Amino acid sequence: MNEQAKQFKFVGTRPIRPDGVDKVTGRAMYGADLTLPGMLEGKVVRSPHAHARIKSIDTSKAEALNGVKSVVTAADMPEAESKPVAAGEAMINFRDLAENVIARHKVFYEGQTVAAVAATSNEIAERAAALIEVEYEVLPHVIDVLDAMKDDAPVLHDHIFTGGVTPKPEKPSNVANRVEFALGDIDAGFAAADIVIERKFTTEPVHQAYIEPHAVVADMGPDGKADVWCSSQGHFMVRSFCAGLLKIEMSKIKVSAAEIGGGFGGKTTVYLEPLAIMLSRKAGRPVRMVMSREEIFRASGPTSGAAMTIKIGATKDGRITAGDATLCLQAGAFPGSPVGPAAMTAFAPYDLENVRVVGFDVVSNRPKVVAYRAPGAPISEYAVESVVDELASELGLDPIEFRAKNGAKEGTQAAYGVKFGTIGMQETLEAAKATEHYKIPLGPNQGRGVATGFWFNIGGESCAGIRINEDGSVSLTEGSPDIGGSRASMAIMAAEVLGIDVAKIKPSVVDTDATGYHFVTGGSRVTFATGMAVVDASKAAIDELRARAAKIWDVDVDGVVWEDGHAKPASTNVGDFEPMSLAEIAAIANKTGGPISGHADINAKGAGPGFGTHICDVEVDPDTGFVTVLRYTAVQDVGRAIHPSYVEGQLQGGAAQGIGWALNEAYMYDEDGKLENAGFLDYRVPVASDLPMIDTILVEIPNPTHPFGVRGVGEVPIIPPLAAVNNAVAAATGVRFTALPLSPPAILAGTGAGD
Amino acid sequence: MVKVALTSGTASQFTDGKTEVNVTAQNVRQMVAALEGKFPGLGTEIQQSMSVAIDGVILPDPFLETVNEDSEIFILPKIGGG
Amino acid sequence: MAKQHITTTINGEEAEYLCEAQETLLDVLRDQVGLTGTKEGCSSGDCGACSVMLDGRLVCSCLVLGVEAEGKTVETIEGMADGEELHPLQQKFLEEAALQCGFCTPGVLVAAKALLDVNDDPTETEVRYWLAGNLCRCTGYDKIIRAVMDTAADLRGASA
Ligand code: FES
Ligand code: FES
Repeated sequence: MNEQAKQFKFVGTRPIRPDGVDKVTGRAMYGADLTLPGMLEGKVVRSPHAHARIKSIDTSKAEALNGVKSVVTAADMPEAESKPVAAGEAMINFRDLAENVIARHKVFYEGQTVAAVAATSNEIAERAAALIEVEYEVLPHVIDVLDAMKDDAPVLHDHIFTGGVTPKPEKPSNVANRVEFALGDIDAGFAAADIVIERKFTTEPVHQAYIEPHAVVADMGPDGKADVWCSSQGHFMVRSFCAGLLKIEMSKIKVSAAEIGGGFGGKTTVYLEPLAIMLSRKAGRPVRMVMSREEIFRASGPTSGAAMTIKIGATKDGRITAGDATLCLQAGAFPGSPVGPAAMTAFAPYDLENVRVVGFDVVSNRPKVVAYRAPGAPISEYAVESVVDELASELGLDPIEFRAKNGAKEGTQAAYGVKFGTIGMQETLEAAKATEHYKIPLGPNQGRGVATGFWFNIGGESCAGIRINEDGSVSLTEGSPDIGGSRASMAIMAAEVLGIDVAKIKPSVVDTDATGYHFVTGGSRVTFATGMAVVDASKAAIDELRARAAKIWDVDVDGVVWEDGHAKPASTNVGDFEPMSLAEIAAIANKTGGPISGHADINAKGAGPGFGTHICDVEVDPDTGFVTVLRYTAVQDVGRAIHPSYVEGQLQGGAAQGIGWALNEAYMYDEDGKLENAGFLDYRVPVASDLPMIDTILVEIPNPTHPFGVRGVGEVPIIPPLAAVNNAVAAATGVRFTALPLSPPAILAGTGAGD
Repeated sequence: MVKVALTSGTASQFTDGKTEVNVTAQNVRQMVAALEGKFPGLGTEIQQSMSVAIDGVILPDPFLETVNEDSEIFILPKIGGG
Repeated sequence: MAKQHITTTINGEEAEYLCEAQETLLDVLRDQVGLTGTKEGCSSGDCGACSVMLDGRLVCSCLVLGVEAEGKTVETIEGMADGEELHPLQQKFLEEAALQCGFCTPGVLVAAKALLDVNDDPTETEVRYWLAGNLCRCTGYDKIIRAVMDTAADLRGASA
């Protein structure tokens, strides 16, 4: 069954992606690009307060405005029950999801939705939104994670009692949950250490900052059936959340996946979609809603900011004896920060006997966090990798060798218990060490930093259909929204298995009526899991093709093999038949039993863990504190690169996002708990002139559970940059910084040059 | 008998702090039922919001997978991703 | 308010539309003219997704009013290819995988073409600064910069 040993014809090549021409000519249809006859434009009314009780909402003036066709408040929505659902990263409570979509009794952050309106034009909808009168009783708020944990902090939710502690608390708290992972005996571990370093770190929340705003068009008819078109990382997620929130049967909601202009985890939940359906239902007309960039910053994303303490001990000869971490992660207004994965990944790159990680999930008056590439891992691994680096330099050891000496290998038990199978941590370190980059001499005020990163990668539900058309071309259907070229990878894998030219295969991401449930495009799972479904569906189609050839030749199906896109007799004993091509069999399918297809509906298991090592060179201007990234190399074990260009692209894009996180990006609040930098001018993501070329090295240690050896690749590359940059800045300045972002004022304050 | 390892957060909520429990089971379904029987609420918690790792493979939706005395079983938070 | 009647040339063809005084050229292109290839990422001039050429000058169409196009020529991404014949930049972007989600791509291509029209041999730094107004969150810019420079080299080779 395993294809890994074979030589590949298409896997590993770089064909032009099937959706490419549409995307370079402006024809591709994204969320906001659809217009339907009679379509209305919807707008949202948002809370101006960080924390307030809603005393009343008066929509009468808005409703009276000419051109307004419907208004929706929480009163129009069914009450949601309290139950956990998977929302792209940690589990969240369905009732919280409902309140995040539209506030019911209280608002918990500035920007939270309180009402929505639909009108015949954007301009009228905006005027109507301004006419909706909401009376608030403003409550004390809390923004910072450590402040929110204090005993006298304003409590956001009366029903939250810290989970995971004994005895069960009697008072409600902003600390929603405590997690702990431990292995061995850390006290004994620290006792055996010659050197122990303990540091406190903070990181700020950062936004996924996909360039395409959230957008949806919803159309609900009088028969109660809804058609939804939207940009999301999972149209099945949109269907299931909308069905649950609006109490509509899933079969009555059809969601089509628009082309998606980036997500990075931020589009793994719903914001506008249920509102658009409700507005459309009340108005009896299609409704389009598009978020402004300001709304995106205030009310969607980001990922958590954190306060952390890391303590690591090592012997003189460079063996880590114990690691201890305490992680406090902001969840935003509702529980569900990625503190679980943050805790599990913190020390995962290392083979440690004694380790303990304690994590707290903390609510405060900020937008509810949502997944951002490898949720939680960049935060905790930044802190650990910074201390690991400091230890290496204190011990006078090469940072790569120090990591290799302590690095995870096959059979290593991670702190969260699980033993690793085949992994490529050591190989990425070796490859990094062997680069030219690592040997280039540095000048004054320059420094080099190294860091590693680990992410689990996931599998999950996926489906695929292969239909062999009468002319021998192939239609491939699946339901994983394609963000970064996954349709190209699907076509390559199908071509490889079927043995036909990749250009003959047309892959499509089809709507929720046309294929089975797919988990979201996230967790680096699509090429792995949906790819597995495509391989299985292709094999099922081959079985059918063989059966048809067997009928034509009048032999037993076991006597027919499939090679190079042809049915062939298994041996000369079977008979002397000319091989039949896929196209030849397809041409007479009507005579041999009808159309030929293959399908697979799976829940993929065995996603291979991913490791990466990055090298970063910086120059720090001693007068201004400005950090320039001079050189960057990202090395990663990718299992097997199906389309290497898009794999490289994942590494480069992830590295750029991580560099932005390290140097520029942060949410900034004023005293009233209002976001001060809700736009690209003040929330500065890296631009072309901020970055150097990002060199990539793809290490291929095939994942034994995938037919081609694929491991997820999209998440790992955002993990190492935070510490790689931090360690490079430390090397350049001689100062160990413990807070991100490393903005010029922060650098000057640290180096004392600003005094 | 199979040995099940729990993270201490989960353990403190349901098992009085015990991070390792033994139950009789041949597959995950039976294991979860046995855990629920011993520690009411734990089985439901596992089904709703936890993953199970068996011999190094993390399973987000385990149910029929077989387990035996040699299996290394960990109950973990569910992992998604961006 | 009364709408104004505007006559302009879009991608080489005469076009007319009615627009309100405060409507941006971006909204007009997308909602009135039906050219949705030009994207909106911020509507504040910070992302470049809405880049178009106005009388041969690269502009953010979200910062230009629809009425300002009166009597001028507008070029958008939809006018870049010649029928089925892609512009060399478009072709190179496909070959070198210089796009992931593709949302920034129309703006990047329009801006890159404007660069090559005035500078057929840009350095890496020149390309990076020229495209600094075009945000891309997916690619880390590496493949975009290379594709622009490789296209420039091809074009120089072809004309040499
Ligand atoms: S939409 Fe015009 S610059 Fe962003
Ligand atoms: S390719 Fe997605 S923003 Fe550039």
